[in-house]
Amino acid sequence: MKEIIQSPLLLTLVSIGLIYILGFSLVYLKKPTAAVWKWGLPKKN
Amino acid sequence: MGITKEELKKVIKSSVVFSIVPSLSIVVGLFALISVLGVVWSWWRLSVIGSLSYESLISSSVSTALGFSSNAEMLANATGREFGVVMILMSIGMLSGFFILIPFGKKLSMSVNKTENSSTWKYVLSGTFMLCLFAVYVPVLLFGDTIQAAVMLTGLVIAVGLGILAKKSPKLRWLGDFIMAFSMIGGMISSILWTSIF
Amino acid sequence: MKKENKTTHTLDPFQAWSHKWGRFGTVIALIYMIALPFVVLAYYDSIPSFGEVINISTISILMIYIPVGISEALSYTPILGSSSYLTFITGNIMNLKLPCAVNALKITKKEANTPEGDAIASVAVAVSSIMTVCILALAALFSTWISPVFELPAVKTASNYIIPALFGSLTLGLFSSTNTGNKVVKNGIMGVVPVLIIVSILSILVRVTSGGSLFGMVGFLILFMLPIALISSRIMWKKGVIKVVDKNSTEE
Repeated sequence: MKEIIQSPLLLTLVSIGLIYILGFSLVYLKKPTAAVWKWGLPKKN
Repeated sequence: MGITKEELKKVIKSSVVFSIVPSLSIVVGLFALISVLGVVWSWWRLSVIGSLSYESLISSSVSTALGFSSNAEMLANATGREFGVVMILMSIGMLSGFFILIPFGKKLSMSVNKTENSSTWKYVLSGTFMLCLFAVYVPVLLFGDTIQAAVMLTGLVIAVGLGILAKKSPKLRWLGDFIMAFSMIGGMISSILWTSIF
Repeated sequence: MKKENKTTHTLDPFQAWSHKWGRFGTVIALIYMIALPFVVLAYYDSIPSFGEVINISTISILMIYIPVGISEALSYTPILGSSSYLTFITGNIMNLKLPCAVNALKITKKEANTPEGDAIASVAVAVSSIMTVCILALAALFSTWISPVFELPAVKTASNYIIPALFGSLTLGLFSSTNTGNKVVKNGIMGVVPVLIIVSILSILVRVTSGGSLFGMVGFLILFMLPIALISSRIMWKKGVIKVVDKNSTEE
């Protein structure tokens, strides 16, 4: 078990997973921010 | 109409600030979990769906089911397969929410203002499961083993104490976020004291 | 294209985008979360058998948390809207993400599930997730640095008492009311009083006769007690002992 807990493979996979989550978060930060920016502009119609 | 830049900035700032303290509280829980499962796996589990209480419960029940006398023993002696059991269970146990969210997420969001159901049973129902869990564990811990009882009571006292302190002064309000983490660590630390007495 | 705040059922392009990609991204995350242990275990040739994974002790905990997950999804999605995908992936909903999102909605005075509401909730949840991932990463780094601490015998002793310590703080919750969303359940504990009594008697009996504890049997106990708890909770609810009230009308 020790070898699994300390395995570099596990660390790599976990890191990839967390980077994915970070990416997901960044996308979900940028897109709404952009949308909100657009909405904040004065309406043209 | 819409959201101003000011409001947006405010939201971002307040979310940042809002997240610091609870995240630190999760960190405290992380330390507790590391003592049972190692750094990497605890880190992963606490970063994705799956609360500290769930992860601890699963690792404890697997440890008992596999016949280990203690978490420390499991950490030292478990085989890969046995740890595998823990890993798999943790990963699949909390997924039930997704099986609702993924197919029905859009629909749920649309029908947000469902009118008052005449039946409030569903609220009671969802609470009952967790309450049953408590109702089984608490007496077992309280009456089964002196040290476990002492640890639990210590944790309870700390939790109550912190709760009172947090309410007393606005300066100490941040304590409220740490009640579970501190009382858990406090209880665990107190176990060192209790094991030497009993 | 501008969307008003009426609850019409056509989706704003942002929401449509958010739900579509939210779902897709969540499915990927889901597959990843399930696959990760298997990949690692396969590499070390340590995949356990089905029976080892699913047995009475483990099933009992799952039986508690599966309904919890379902009820969380049902209760929080209406509030979080399309930001719920990221929220559920990263977890810590009740203590972190939900307050963050609700706070964001309050600050901007938007309603949940409108395009604006979804957008601002997504921002809040995204920021919160990034913060947590970073803080946890730093903590993990720190932990490897102090890893000798975790080898100390005192720490090992302490690690055996996670569960009692956990329940110490959770017991407080037993006596207060539980809440999901905007409703509060009061006196929920009355519903499980029979379970408390039965398990207490059993534990005392076992302790007195053999000096041992039922800790190892918790799995069985939970499975047997669940039906009892459900039935008695329903009775208590019907009798009005357990009450459900709106959150705003009570102060705890």
